[in-house]
Amino acid sequence: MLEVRNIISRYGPVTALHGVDFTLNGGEVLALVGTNGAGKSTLVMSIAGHVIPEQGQIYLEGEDITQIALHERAVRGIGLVPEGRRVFPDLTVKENLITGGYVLPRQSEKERLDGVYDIFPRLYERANQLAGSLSGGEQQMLAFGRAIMLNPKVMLIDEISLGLMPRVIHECYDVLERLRERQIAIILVDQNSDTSLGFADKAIWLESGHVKWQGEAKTCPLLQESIVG
Amino acid sequence: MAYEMIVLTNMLIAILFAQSLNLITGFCGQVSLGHAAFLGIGAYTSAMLTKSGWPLMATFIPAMVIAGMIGMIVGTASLRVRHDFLAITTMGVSFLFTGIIRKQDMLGGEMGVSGIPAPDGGRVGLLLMALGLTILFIMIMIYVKRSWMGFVFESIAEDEDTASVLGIDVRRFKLFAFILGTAGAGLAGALYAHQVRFIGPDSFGFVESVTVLSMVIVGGIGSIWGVTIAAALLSVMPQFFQVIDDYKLLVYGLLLFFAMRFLPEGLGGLAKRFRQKRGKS
Repeated sequence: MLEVRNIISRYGPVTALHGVDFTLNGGEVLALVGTNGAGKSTLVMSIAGHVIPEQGQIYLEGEDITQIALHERAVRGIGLVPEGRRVFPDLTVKENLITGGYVLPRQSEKERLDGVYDIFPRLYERANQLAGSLSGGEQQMLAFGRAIMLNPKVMLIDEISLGLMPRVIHECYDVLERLRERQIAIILVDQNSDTSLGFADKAIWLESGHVKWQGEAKTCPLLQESIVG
Repeated sequence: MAYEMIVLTNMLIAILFAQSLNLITGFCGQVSLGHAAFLGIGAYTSAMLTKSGWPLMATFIPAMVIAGMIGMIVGTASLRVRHDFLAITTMGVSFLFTGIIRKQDMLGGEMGVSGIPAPDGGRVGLLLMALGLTILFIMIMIYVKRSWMGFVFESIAEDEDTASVLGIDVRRFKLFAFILGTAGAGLAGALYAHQVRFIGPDSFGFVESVTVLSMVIVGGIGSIWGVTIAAALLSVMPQFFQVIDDYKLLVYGLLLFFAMRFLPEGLGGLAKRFRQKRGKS
C-alpha cells in the first residue's frame, strides 16, 4: 500500500529526517515515537506532501508520489488529521465534512456523510453547529470525519491525543480500530507513546531525525522501558 | 429627481465594485490594495468602445473580459505570495496602472477621456442597468457562498494549508476568485465611466482602492449584506458631507483603523453576534 524509501527531508540548512524506510499494508498501523523535534511530524508532513523530501521515494500502491503536490496526494487517497485539528471554525460541522470530501463525486456525498455520522453520531447531532463552537474532543472527531470523507487509503494522524481528556482519547482509538478493520493503513503520532505502541502493529523510534529503532510495535524498547520502569 | 438618480446609481456602482472585491478578499482571503486598477480597466475599455460607436450594453462583456484577463495575469503572478506580500504586490499593480495610463496618448494620458457618450435611456437607463447588474452579481455571490464552492473558498480563506490537505487545489480556486472579482470590477468600471462621463488616471488611484477596501472591511470581510450596507453608506456619505470628500484618505484611513480595532468582523459580524445573542435568550 505505502512504501517509503530512504527519505531525507530538510528545512533550509537543517536536515530533519536522515533516511527513513518502511512499508505499510492496508489495515496496518505504524506508530511514530520519539521526543519533541525527533522528526515524527516531519515524516508525516513528508508523506502528506507539506514537505517535499530532498532524497528518497514515496510510493502509494506502486505509484511514485514523491514530487506530487499536496492536494493531488489527497485525491490519491492520503488523508491527514493534522496536529491541533485545524477544523474550519466558521463553517458548520456538515460544511466542514462536505469540504473534506469535495474532490470525490457529489453523488456519493450523502453516503459518505452517513458513513461519518455512523462512526460519530455526535457529529450528526451537531451537524448545523459552527465547528469553532465544538469542544476539543468534538473537533478531533470532526477532523477525523473530514479525513474519512476522502475515502482515504492511508490516514496520517498527527498528535491524536493532544489536549484531549482520557475518555475522548479512548473514543479516538475505538475509531482507529474501525478504520483498521476497513483496511486503511494508519500512521499514528501520539505524545503518549505507550498507548500508540500498544495499539500499533509496527513502530519507528526517531531521534534527531535518525531512526533509532524500527520493528514490531510490541517489542519497541520504549514500551519495554516504561513497563520495566 | 436627477440628483437622487445620480446618487442612487453611484451607490449601486459602489456596491457592485465592493462586492467584486469581497469575492477576492472576503471569500478567498486575498487582500488586494489595487482593486481600483480593474475598475479603471473596465472603465477605459467601455469608454473607448462607446466613443467608437458601440452601445453601452455591448461593452459590458469586453470590459469584464479584459479586466478578468489582466486579473488572471496579476492573480497568477500573485499566487506565490500571501497576506501582506500580496497586498503590496496588488498595490504595485494600482501604481503601475495609473503610471501606464498617464503615458498613453490614445487613452487621453494625463488629461483623461472626456465626452463619453450618454447611455441609451439616459440616467434612468443607466440606473436600471446598474440596479439589474448589481442584483445579479449579489445573487451569484449568494449562490456561490451557499454552494460547495463557497465552503471551499471559506476553507481557503481560513486555512489554505489544511484546505490543500483535503485535496483542494488552492491555487486554482484563488485564481478563479481573482478572475471573477476583477471581471466584476471591470463591469462596475463600465457603468462608472458612463455615470461620470469623464475618466482620468486619478479616478482609479490608490485612494479608490483604499476606499473600496474600507467598504469591505467595515461591512465585514466575506459578508454579502454587510458589504452591501457599508458600500451604500460610504458611497453616499461624501455626497452629503463635503468634508468627507475633501479629506477622503484621512476619513477612510481612520475608518479602517477603528473598524480593525473595535469591529474587526464589521457590520456582518455585528449582525451575526446579535442573532446569536437573540437565539440564546
